Amino acid sequence: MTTELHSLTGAYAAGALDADENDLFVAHLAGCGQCQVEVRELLETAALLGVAAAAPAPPSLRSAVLAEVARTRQMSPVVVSLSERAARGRRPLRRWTQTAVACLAVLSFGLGTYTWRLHDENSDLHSQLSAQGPYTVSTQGTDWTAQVSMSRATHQVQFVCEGLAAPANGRTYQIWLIGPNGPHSAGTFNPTKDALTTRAFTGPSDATTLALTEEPSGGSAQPTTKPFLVMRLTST
Amino acid sequence: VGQEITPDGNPTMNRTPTLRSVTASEVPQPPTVPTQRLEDLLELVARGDEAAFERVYTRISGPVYGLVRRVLRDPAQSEEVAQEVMVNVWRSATRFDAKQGSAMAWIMTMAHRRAVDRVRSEQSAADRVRRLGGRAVDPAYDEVSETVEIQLEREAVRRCLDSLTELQRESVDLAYYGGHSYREVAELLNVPLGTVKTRMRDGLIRLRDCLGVTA
Repeated sequence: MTTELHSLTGAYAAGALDADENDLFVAHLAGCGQCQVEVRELLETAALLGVAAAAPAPPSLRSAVLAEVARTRQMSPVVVSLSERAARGRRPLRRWTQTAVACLAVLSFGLGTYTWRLHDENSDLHSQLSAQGPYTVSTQGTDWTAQVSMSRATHQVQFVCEGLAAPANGRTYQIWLIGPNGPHSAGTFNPTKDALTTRAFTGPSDATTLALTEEPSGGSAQPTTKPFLVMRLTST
Repeated sequence: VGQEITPDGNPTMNRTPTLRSVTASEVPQPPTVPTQRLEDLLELVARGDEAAFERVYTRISGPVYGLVRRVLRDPAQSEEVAQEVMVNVWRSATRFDAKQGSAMAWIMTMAHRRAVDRVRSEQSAADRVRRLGGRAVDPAYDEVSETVEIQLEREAVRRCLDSLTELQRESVDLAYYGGHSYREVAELLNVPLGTVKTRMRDGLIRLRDCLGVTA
């Protein structure tokens, strides 16, 4: 599977993957340093193909863009907030905290499609696009990735992660969906380093955040540790 | 050519009167060399500098509009998508990370993804053809002439595309400029999926090497 996904670097850089494959590839990319380098180079290459197609833009475009810019707020530089200093001192978790801070900044280049969807949450065009399809947020570190897709219509949530270190003995990871009424457990999982973990569940319709905590085996009714990963399901 | 020869001519060099070494100050400078890196301009844009954004606009509107139009073909639709891309450059300049790649690649990736998204959200191919039929005339273009940079880029890309095998070139062309998924490309070229996948990758790798791209 890894080699097969690796061979998709070209199709990914050329924007030739369909949405599902793109998701899979992006998840794979997060844990594959070699692929990241190749993808970066091929995206630079593809960009040159794009520049070679340059054509003078109509003058009306300039005024339209500048007018819209003048009334458009810029995004804040950080999208995913992490529970600060969570689990500091615990090795695997600390690594998560550090890497996850940069997560969506990373997305802004390598994972163009996602970023776009995330960024454009408020635009009309985006609502058209996402009216049918799920809303997706991803985050990643050097050797792991996590992704949440949520259907606005049915409140179904899919959580996928890959490359996470297994929890300590006698412990488990627990997924929480958090809304105005507090955390709602969405189940536990014990990943092994090399496997893809996929969980699907229906969340509270008002959930705005997905969080992961480490809990005693079997899970807890309420989170008993600070979350080591927090993904915001709403746009900033 | 290591020898300094005076411009008034040296009788011993009468076979090659045009060859002489020159000092850097004598080399003519192209009239419009952009002095600021796009990455630096984006940093200013990220702090809300609209004047910097205008300079970014001047630099990238041709590439963005040209690529979007190459993919979408319809001028009105292209203008719309190019506008979305440009405004998104403004909005998300705060999230550009130069460690992840060049500013141009960041912008062009965005432009390409957006154009392709538009292609794929089209209701049907027939719809697209119908609309294309109704628009034969291009709108007026900006008088801005193409920069030297873009001309050189275009030359290099053309030359390097010629170095690909036919299948590599067609795969890259149909996917990138045509906005087709690799499944569609396989269908169009009537070759197995796996073949298209690898040709696309091999083609881009060969282009990368030919163009001297490093990450």
